[in-house]
Amino acid sequence: MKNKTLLLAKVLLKNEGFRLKPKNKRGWFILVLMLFAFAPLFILKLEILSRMYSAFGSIGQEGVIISWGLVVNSLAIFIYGIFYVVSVFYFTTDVEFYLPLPIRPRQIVGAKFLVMVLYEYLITAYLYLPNMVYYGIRQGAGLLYYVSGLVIMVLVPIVPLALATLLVMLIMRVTNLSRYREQLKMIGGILGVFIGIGFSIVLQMFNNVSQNDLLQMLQQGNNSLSLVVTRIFPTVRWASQALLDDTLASRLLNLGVFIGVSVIVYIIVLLFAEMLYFKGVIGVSESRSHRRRLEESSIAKLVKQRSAFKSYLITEIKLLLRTPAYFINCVLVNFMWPIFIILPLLVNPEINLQSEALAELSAYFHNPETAGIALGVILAFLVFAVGTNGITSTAISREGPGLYVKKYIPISYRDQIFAKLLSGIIFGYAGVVVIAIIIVFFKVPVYFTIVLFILGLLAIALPCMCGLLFDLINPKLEWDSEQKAVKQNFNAMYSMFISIAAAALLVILSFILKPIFYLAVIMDIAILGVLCVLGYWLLYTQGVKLFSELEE
Amino acid sequence: MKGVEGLVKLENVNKTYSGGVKAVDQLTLTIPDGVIFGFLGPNGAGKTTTIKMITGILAPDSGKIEINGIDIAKDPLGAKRQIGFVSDSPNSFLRLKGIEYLNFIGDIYDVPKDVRQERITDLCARFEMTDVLQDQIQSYSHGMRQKIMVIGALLHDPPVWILDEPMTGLDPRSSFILKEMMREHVKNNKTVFFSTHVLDVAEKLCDQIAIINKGKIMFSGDMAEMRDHFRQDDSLEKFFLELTENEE
Repeated sequence: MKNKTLLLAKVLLKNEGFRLKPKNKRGWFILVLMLFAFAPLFILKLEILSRMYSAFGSIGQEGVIISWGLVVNSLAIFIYGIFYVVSVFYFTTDVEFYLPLPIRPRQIVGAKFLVMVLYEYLITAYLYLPNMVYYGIRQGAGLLYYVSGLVIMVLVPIVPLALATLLVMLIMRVTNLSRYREQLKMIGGILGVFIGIGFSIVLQMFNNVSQNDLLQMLQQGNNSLSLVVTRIFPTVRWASQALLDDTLASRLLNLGVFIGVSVIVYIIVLLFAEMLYFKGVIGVSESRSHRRRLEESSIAKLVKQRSAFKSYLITEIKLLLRTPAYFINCVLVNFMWPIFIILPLLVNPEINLQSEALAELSAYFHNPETAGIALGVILAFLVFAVGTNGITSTAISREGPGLYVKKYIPISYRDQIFAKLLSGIIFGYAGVVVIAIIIVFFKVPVYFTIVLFILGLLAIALPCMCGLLFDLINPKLEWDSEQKAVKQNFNAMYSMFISIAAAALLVILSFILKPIFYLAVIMDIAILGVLCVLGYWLLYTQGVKLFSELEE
Repeated sequence: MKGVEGLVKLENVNKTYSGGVKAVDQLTLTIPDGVIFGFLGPNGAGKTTTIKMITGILAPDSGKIEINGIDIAKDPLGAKRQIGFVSDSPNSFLRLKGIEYLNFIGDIYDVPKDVRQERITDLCARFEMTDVLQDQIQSYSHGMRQKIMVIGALLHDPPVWILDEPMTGLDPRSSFILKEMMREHVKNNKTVFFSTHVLDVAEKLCDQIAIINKGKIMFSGDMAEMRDHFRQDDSLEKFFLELTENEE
């Protein structure tokens, strides 16, 4: 008998059109473009690796690049995993196809889990794989090292993803109790994200090591530092020991333990799935009907007239806010990054308004020679944060099988594109407000805030335009469940790469040129302005053409 | 005079899909005003493709399409305004409330507030949709979704009303009301154009019909003409039988 979990995983993959080879010319074009966009990121990564290796190598701690890679990788997978799990397990209707089939909850969860692991390899391929290979080459490692390294690569997403799955399953089981399911589900999703972020911050805080201990450990050499780093994610410890330990026996033992723990954790997820999943997911797509008696006279109050453009924009925003999968993956992600910054400030008792650290930071904003760099960094952060939210980079994909409606209604493609762009800019700008509030803590000068509000618009418009262009070139229109439009949509990822590249450009130029404040303003306007004009031009020539050529 | 001008005109329209399937082949069709026009054919005959080209969802590879005298290639927005369209999959805007959807459509087609109010009140009452206007469309059944789309399509009182397989999923009562609305719609020299694979529906409702098979028009005319036509041609008669068999 065939393994049903694997069978289901295969079907899931096929069903969402997963393919390694692009299906048409556009797909290839984007892939090549991405390789170019990715090249600087890869070079940057190698540069960091080589510097870290040299710096830590001088004190016998070069193994830190392995454990550091594994830890960052696990944290990233955990955080992204929460968004993933919420969307893939709960905000999806495809579960309803499987519910009547004679398969067990653990088989559905197992299959979906395996598919998620597959997608997480994209993260692992950037955050862990280069570290492992680089270390191996520098150390002249043998075959066993690379084999263990690859085994670890295959298994390493399991534990963080399992933690995310368990967390979300527990929350969703509780929130699926009342008749206000849909609203509670949304709250459950938000809660999951916040608990996840909070959890990882707390982990980092517990990891604070006293300076004495640290010095002692550094002196020991022998990659002892890597053990400290791995405290953040316990299972990572075995993985890094499997690559770094002195004796062969110890390396194999650690590898064995790591494999064993990963498998056990996977089984635990399946056991919990059996208990929690169906109860949490049943009725996921139900929605309430009020059937309120409506007098004909009161229809008058409900009829509102707006301009076609405004109405289109408002509808676009309403759908983003009301569709759980879109809300979690687009809107919430948009605000996640600022919150990522502000939460540690709020929970860390050492940082308060009078603290020295804060005063130091504040000085950066007041000193005209460093304020320029600060501006560049904050703008770069905005470009990056907005580039990850996926609002515009899935704006066409979200239309999905209903795209035809947008083609027969009498509103120009140009206006539709602009409305979609504006919806992204509006949410992004809300993020600017959050950032402006955060930097109030740093006692920034008023003119800095004003400049930020103005330049922030360019910094937001740029990734929004990029994302929309990507989605117009190759939208993911064939889906049966809303979450597939925003999750596992490569356009969102491409958009993120490009925005990271643009953000890196801003940061690098700011640090190299070190312009004083007003020159920095001019420089940032020039960089962002030129790119924005280019994006705008592309959108209104090629973009409109692409939209008109789109066919289901 | 009824049936002369031609509200919808297709001339030598072709469409081949990227897979190489020729969905519509040299299609020429004139749909006069003031008639209910049935577009009949088995599954996969090219009905939906033709409707998609008339409504501007797909662009034809070659040929010309005019709606109420407006060339859709030259003035797409102008041509689209002449049409009210009800698709066969009423599954869009599910997270909007019924009334929000109708307001959205009203805004897109520039329907003034007082007209909109009057039409929403009237149409919702006839379809018994008034009480669910404040619920999200996703809580509606298939038939209710179909009905809210019909109301939306009629908000701007379009010269050409196009429906793709409209009877599917409607209960007998709603189906009856819809047919009644179609008859009313054509009274002021407007046109109703709808596709169906059920001969019976076409026979009872349509003033004129066209039959399409494998992307080609096999016949166009009124019902009496059609019967004559079929009697004379053996292969057509066979095809006619197949269509009859399609009735569930």
